[in-house]
Order: sequence, then structure tokens, then C-alpha cells
Amino acid sequence: MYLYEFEAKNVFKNYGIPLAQSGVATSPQEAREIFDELGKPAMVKAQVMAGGRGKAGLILPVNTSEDAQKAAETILGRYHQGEKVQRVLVEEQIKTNKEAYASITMDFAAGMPVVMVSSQGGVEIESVAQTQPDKIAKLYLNPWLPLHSFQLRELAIQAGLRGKIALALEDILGKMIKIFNELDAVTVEINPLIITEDERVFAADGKLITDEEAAFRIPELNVVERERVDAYAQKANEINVTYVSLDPQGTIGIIAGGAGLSMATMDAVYALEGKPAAFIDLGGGISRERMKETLVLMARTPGLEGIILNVFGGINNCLTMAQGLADFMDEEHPKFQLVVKMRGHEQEEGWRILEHYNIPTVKLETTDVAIRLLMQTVQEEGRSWA
Amino acid sequence: MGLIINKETKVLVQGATGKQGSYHVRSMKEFGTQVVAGVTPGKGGQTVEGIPIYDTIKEAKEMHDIDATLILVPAPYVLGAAVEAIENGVKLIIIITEHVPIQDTVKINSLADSKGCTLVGPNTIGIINAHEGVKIGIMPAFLYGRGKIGVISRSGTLSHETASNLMFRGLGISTVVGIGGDQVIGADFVTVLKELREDLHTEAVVMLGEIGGNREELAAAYLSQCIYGKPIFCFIAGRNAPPGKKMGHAGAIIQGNSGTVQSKETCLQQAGVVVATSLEDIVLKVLEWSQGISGEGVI
Repeated sequence: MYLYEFEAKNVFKNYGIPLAQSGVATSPQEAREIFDELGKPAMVKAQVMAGGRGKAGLILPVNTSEDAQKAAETILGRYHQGEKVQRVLVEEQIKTNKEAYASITMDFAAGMPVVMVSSQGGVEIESVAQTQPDKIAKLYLNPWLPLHSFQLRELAIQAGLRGKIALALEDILGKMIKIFNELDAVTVEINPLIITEDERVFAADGKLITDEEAAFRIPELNVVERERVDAYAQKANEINVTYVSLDPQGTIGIIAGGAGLSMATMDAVYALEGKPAAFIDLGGGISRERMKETLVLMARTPGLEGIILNVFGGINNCLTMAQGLADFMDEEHPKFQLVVKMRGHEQEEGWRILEHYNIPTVKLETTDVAIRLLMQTVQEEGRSWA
Repeated sequence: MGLIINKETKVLVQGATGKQGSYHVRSMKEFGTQVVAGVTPGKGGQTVEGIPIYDTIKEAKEMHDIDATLILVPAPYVLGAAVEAIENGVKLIIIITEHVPIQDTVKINSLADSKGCTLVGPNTIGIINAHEGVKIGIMPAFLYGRGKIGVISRSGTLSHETASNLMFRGLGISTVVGIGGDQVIGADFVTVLKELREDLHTEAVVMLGEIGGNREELAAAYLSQCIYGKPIFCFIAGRNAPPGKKMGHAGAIIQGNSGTVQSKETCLQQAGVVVATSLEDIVLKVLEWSQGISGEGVI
């Protein structure tokens, strides 16, 4: 899960990472009140998922209550990369001498977490990484070995941060790693990490992404309700499948087993000049009930003329999937065309059910053959189900 | 233990006692795999499909030689199961389970590395050697005809699809390794490419990739540095995927430019790989090569 800046900072605060004082506002009036409480120059920062807030004018410095209210008025309700700004963080301005960078993130290809520190933090960190890679000190962590605090101090020194600052970094990095481990994070990042004239260090931003597969064991995070733009995706989440909306004018629904086959089927529909409305990836361990629910969900997609069910009995089972499909036919009496391509474990048993329901079934042919059959049937017979 | 398994490979199944577990034990035995034992803590003394179940791997090892383990336990128990296998000297660890937390895979991978074990997965269909008639995995073996094409796939169902489409056109496979769809995995394209290069029964290789991550790019980097000696074909799924959306597989997240279909195809093409544009196209390209129609050569 991707946490908002203010949520990440709440976590940071609980772990004792030094932060500027701040408060979250959902209205200009609230922003003004928070400013008055802080009683000093502040930044008003939009709380959104995507980066690039500064360049989009969604981070504004304010010096008076009036300013704070106006800045919040400007920012709240604006859209940033498709997301409506619903909250702003009003945060005290800290006089900066230097902007550094600190993170711990999962290097997926290496299969190991890596701690990174640089004295050249800020918005240009990515170009620093490209043009002066030696300016970013890295430490890969073996998950089985203890990490000693001197290693973190050494990393700070390697990044050119010395004395009191190195000591502060040792402390902050240790806490970031603790968060990373205890919350099953894939990224904990502070950019910029502000260094003041008197060599104190503060987290000016906070990024925290946790691994949703580990939700069963991590403490519940105090986060605001996520707005799911897509009601279908929301419903899919409840029945433990993945729904991806594609073309709003699309007429073909794709249900497939596995992300790879779902995407390849989508690619094939486009290549055959069809318009996919959405696909659902069944994932593994599909039950009869969930198969039916999946079909019900796909059937609700507006504008649908046909569904292709492209599945394998591998981690799933053909008989179970066919039974779910039969339940769907009995209960919903669908008004669109349906083509099934199915083979694998217990295929004969599954095919027998499909035959009983007169569902066109592609047994020993390719995905393209099944898509062509569906498109042809839709064209010839329209939406009405025989 | 390498990835080219054979009739002599002795297999343990962790999580054999469930409905899924016993189904796949039977399916592997019927195909010709030597499944010698199962481990399910708390169910020692039972038998499943004729194989004895033990509470610990240590006990199983006292009674049987074990070369490889197939892990089918639920995600929260995968770390414990895999560590037990590695610490007991099992050299090939295949994890079928999906939704394993990333940090658990990292721990398993790192321990496996330090003990000289090979990890395949998680979130994989496993390995099948159709040439030998043996599988350690959950794939329906009757969709995998015997032949000379090696397959490496991030996606299980794309592997079923491609293997069966090849079979319907008279082509068969030698060994298929599902490397798994997660962001962190054990053996990757490069690991398997190296083994298939040495495999006498493999004359050509098919790589099935997906958007997201940089594993296809790493394979391209390896291939441009070596004389591979066999032709390689690839298909990358997801060219029409909406950007930035999470697509079911944890691995399929677009990460900047490095994870796009374009980036992967360009790198692979430059390394001499034949790039197919669809599931249909990859089968046609392999068919043309096998009939000597296309001049697609050896890298």
C-alpha cells in the first residue's frame, strides 16, 4: 500500500524520526487554524499519490494566516495525475542549509534491500543517480545478518556527511530500517532530508510503500479510506480477483487465468481489431462460487456484447470453473455472447458441462481462434442469447 | 542440483495432504515423477496417494533420498517450509504458492544462495521435462508434447498456452521452467538460459515475458555477451496495458521505461532474439524455424 505523506510521517513520528511540526487540513479554514497554531512560516503541501507536486504548484510557501488559507483554497480540489486533492499538510518551514537523501528500498532484480544515502538530495536525485552514481552511497542488507549501527555511520561518511550529521543519520537510518522490517515495506524514503545550519537533521518529506501480501501480519496502519475510482475494481477486490478497466467504448470482456494470459488475450483482441472493455485475472485457487461471482461482475460492465473466458486447468481446475459458469447461466440468463477456451486438469468433465449448456468451446485451438469466434458470433447474432 | 530434472530426481512435497496437494502428488506420479515423501507438520504417519507423510523433513530424509521439494503450503507458511528444506540440505526448492510476502522471498533466496540451493518461484507452475517424462509442478502434463524446444516463462498460463499450441502444430518441448510472476524470484531468465544452453535435448528456446521489472533486459544483456549456440524466440505480454496499473501479478508493474514492452523487445532484438508480437505469432515463428523456412539463426 502506498501511504500519503502525512500517513508516512505519522509512522515516522511513532518511530522517533525527527520531523517538522505539521497538521492536516481538509478545508482552507482548517489550514488557517493549523498555521495559527504553528505561529511561523509554513509550507502548504497537497496530499496526493503521484510525485512532481512542486513543479505542479501544489507545494506553496506561506507567511501569514491569510496566505495559508489562500494557498489551501488554491490547492484543494485540484487534480494531480487524475487524483483530486482532498487534504493539505501545513508544515513549519525549517531553514535549510543542505538537502540530503536517505532511503531503504527493495532491489527486485538483486533480491535484496538496499540502503541509499546522498548528500545531494532534493528533486534532482534521479539525475544525480544517473550522472554521478558515486554520489549515492549504497549498502545492501543480508536479511539474515545483524546490522550494526557503525555500518550506517560508515555509509553516512561515504556519502560525505560527517560529525554530528553522521551520528544523526545513523539514528534515522536505523529507524527507517526498523520501519522497513516491521511493516514489511518495499520502500521507506526521505527526500529531502533537511540539514540545518546548526547541524540538526529533519525529514521534510516521507514516502512509505508496504507490501500488501504481508497485510496478514503487519499491524494495522492508521490510514484514511482509499478512494477507489473504479467500483468494479473494488468489487473484484472483494472476491479476490483483479479487474482492469480498458476501453470505455469496449464491447468485449476478457476473463483469463493469470496476469500474463489476461494481458496477452487483451493484446490479441486489440490486434484483431476488437475493443476490450475490461479484463479480469482470476488468479489461482478459484472456487465454483468465485467463478460465478466473477462472471456476474464482468456481465455488469456497460456496453458488453461478448465475453471470452480463456482459462487453464493448472493451478485452477476445469470442472470447478465450468460448474461456476453453469451456476451463472442458470441464475443470470445472460444476454450476450460467450466463448470459452479451456483446457487442462479435468478438461473432459468441464467440457461436458459446457456442451450441456451449448456454450461454444474452443478446446484444442489458440486464443486468436477463440477471439475470432466470439467476434464473429457477436456480429452474426448480436447480443441475444439463444 | 540443476533445473533439468529427470526420472532419478527424488521429490518431496510440502503441503501434500490438502485437496490440491494430493491432486498434484497423483498427477506427478502418473506422469512419471519419483515423489518419495510428503511433509505436513501434525500429519506425520498418514499416507497420501501411496506416499508417506512426515512431521519434519529431518524424518523424511532419514527414510528417503531427497533431491528436490515442491512447496504448496499457504503463503504465511512458505518461509518456514522453505527454510526447513534448505537447512536439511534439499538442493532444489520449487515454490508454487502465490501471494508470498516479498521480504520472505528475499530471506529464502538469500539463504538458498548461501547454501548452494536453487530456488524456483514463488508463484510458479514449476518445472517439466517432457523429454524425460517427469515434472515437479502443477502443469497439466498432457498439454506439453515431447520435443526439442525449451521454454522459460514468467506466467504459468502463458506457458500452458504456448506449449499446447506448439503441440497442436506437431512441435514439442524439452524442458519448461516457470520462473514465477513475482517481483523477487529465485532462478531468472539468465539462470535458465544457461542451463538450457547445456541441455542436449533443447535445440531452441522460447522466452515468455511480461511488462514490468527488468528481467528480460538482464537476459538480453547476458545474450549479447555470449555465443549462445541456439535460436531464441520471445513474446512479451502487455503491450496495450494501461500504464501504471497493478495487473494481478505483483511483477507486472510498469517501472519507468525499463519495464515497457518496447524496452524489452528492443533489447532482446539487439541481442539477436526473434521477437514475436502475439501468442499466435510466436508459435508461427518457431514453426517456420523448425521447418527451415525462416533463416532465423543461432545466436
